[in-house]
Amino acid sequence: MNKMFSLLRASMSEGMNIFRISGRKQSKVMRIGLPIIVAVLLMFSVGFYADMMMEPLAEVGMEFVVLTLFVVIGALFILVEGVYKASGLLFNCRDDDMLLSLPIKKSTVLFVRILKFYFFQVMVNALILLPAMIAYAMRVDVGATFYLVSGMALLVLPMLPVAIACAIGSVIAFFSAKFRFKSFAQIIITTLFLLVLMYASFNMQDIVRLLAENATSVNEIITKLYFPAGEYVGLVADFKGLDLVKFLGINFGIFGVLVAILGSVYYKINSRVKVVKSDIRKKEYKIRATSPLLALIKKEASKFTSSPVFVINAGFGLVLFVVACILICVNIQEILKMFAGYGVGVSAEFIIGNMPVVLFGLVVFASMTSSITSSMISLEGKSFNILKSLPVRPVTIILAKVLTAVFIMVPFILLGDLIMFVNFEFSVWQIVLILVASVIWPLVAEMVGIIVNLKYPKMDAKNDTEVVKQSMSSAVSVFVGIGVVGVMVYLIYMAIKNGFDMTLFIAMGTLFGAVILAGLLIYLKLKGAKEFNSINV
Amino acid sequence: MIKISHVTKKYGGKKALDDVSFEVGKGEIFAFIGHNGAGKTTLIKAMTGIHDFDEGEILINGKSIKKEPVACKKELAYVPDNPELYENMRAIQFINFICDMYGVEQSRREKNIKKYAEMFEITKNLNDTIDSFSHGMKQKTALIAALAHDPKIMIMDEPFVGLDPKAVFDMKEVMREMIKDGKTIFFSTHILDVAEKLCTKVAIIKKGRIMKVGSMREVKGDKSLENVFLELEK
Repeated sequence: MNKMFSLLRASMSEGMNIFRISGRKQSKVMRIGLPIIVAVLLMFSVGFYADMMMEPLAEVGMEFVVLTLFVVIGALFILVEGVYKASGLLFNCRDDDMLLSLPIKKSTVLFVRILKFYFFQVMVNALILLPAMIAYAMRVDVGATFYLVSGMALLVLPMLPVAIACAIGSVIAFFSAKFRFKSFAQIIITTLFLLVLMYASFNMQDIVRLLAENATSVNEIITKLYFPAGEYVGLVADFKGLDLVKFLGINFGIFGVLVAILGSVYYKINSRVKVVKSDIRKKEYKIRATSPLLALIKKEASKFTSSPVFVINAGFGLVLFVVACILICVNIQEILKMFAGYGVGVSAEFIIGNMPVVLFGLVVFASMTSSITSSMISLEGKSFNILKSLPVRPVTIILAKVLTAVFIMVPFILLGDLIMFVNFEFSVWQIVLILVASVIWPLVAEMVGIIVNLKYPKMDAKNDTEVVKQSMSSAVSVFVGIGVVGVMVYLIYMAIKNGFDMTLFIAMGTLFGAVILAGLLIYLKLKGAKEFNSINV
Repeated sequence: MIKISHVTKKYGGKKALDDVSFEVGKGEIFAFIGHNGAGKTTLIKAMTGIHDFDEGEILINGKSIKKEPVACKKELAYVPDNPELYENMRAIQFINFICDMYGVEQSRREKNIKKYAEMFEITKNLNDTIDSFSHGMKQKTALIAALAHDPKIMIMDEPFVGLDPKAVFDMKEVMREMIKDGKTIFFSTHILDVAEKLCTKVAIIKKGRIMKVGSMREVKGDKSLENVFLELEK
């Protein structure tokens, strides 16, 4: 047990501190202050939304329904994220050789990795659930048992989705290891699973709609669908010691059983994942000279495609953008019904009538929430020194990363644009402006991403997942992206409300993007090389 | 070819390099020796423009690594102590990538890659991904990538670690060939026998300060290099 705690302590002290910036000195203000500001802003936004949802339910004394909903949202979020994070966090890590050579059980190594993953998800889940709990406590006269149960729930509720995500991630890792192109197989299998999960979620729209109409029965349905949610809310409404024991026992029990099963097959799967199959058919090698910039772009593209978590993280949002465009064209009524379930009520005619501005908003949304470059510096890891020793200007290296990301992102956005152009009415000017925006905003997003990553590098990660999903750079980048989208949504809302000319609005939005881009370019030109060179590995 | 003048590098308050000065001329093989943590890798990273330094100057063929880093890097090749290469790439892709960075023309790179891949006996593995390689194979890939662009100066951090005896022998031959062509080789090593037999000049560093520097004969006198090193370590 002591060995396990030592391993856990060592593992947590290094990997859990996502706000530690490796390769550079950092001030205490940046290390402690920034995470607090980010967390508070995020929790305030979630709390505001939760409170807004509770308002109509308060009239019938059913605020607890929002708690149920947030428990389910948190669990679903952990599950979706966990599925593609798990295989990267559990298997084929850079510290495998060192850990597996220690005189400890191999299942202990797995257990520690799952715990590390679990503690991270507890923090993420708290960002979603804690504001809803606070909003509830502010509206309802709660007793001491509410705080006791909710405190325990924050720790216990992520157990089940984490264990299930680890199990699914392990199955994906096991099967994809059968293929010679393991990464590709992993990307395909994971994407298919996520699409199935998304499809299932979309089909839950009727349940969500019922939520507003018939809260009590929906709560029962959700309880049946996801037991811990109902148990928690039941304890909040009517605290019974035995129910608390049952709640804890079931969560700990299922978590323990799944972890034990995984522990028994962990070494086998990890060994299988580690085997690198050489391409025996291709022994003839090709030598082809290209320019440094093109060679750097090819290198970045190769890195991107070799990392399943990187591809899924960046690609999934872009695929969803295209899917959203298709769904808008095929059946806008159904989509609006789904949004109505979440309290956003607009008519199809309204959306269609303002489609150019809506599409512009979607372009900004897809661009700003799919940053690829925010991980690109960190993913260099120890090989960063190779780049630093090359006879190429740092700005060229940075530019290659930005261009690679833009080349990946823009085709998806243009495809979405094209689908919308064919199905809805746009003027020539609107088409031209949206096409320009579809290049400018991805450039803005990727420039922001690379600058954030230069500021917050994580060069000592044990696997790609830690960089892509659990680093300061990716968190800040997502937050900046969401902030920009929030501002843009507000501006679009105001523009539509005040009857602002749509073409002029898109032109101004595109120009705004161009101005930001110019500012970022100037910053990169002035400071980029210095930031790049100051990262020491 | 390489001129290091009063270079000082601090980590926090601690001096990792303390007023380091020496020169390495054309056609010289220079051994840089010292115990673990003495400052060897720090100086090598400063010489190759990977890490900055606080005081002093490093000139590569007369150009300052601080003021003209790209021009300096074009003249040299760097082989790290731990070959952290791009694991997702095939060996040939990695070598090609490095050649692209140095602007090596097609015919020259074809000739050099063929020559060194055959010498290090990894021609059959050039199409394999680097993550399937052993430490030694990675080291060989890094060496081929460094040699493929015909550098005027080779800077290597413990280049023999992980190499099999045949590859060590071949590498020493390559180094001898290079100095015949008037090139410069600078490397750190813990293998004092190799340094003694192969190198024309040597520097011994201890706690960031150069303890002895000069021609091999000047530094070791009648003693073995091992004895000189151990005496300085006391």
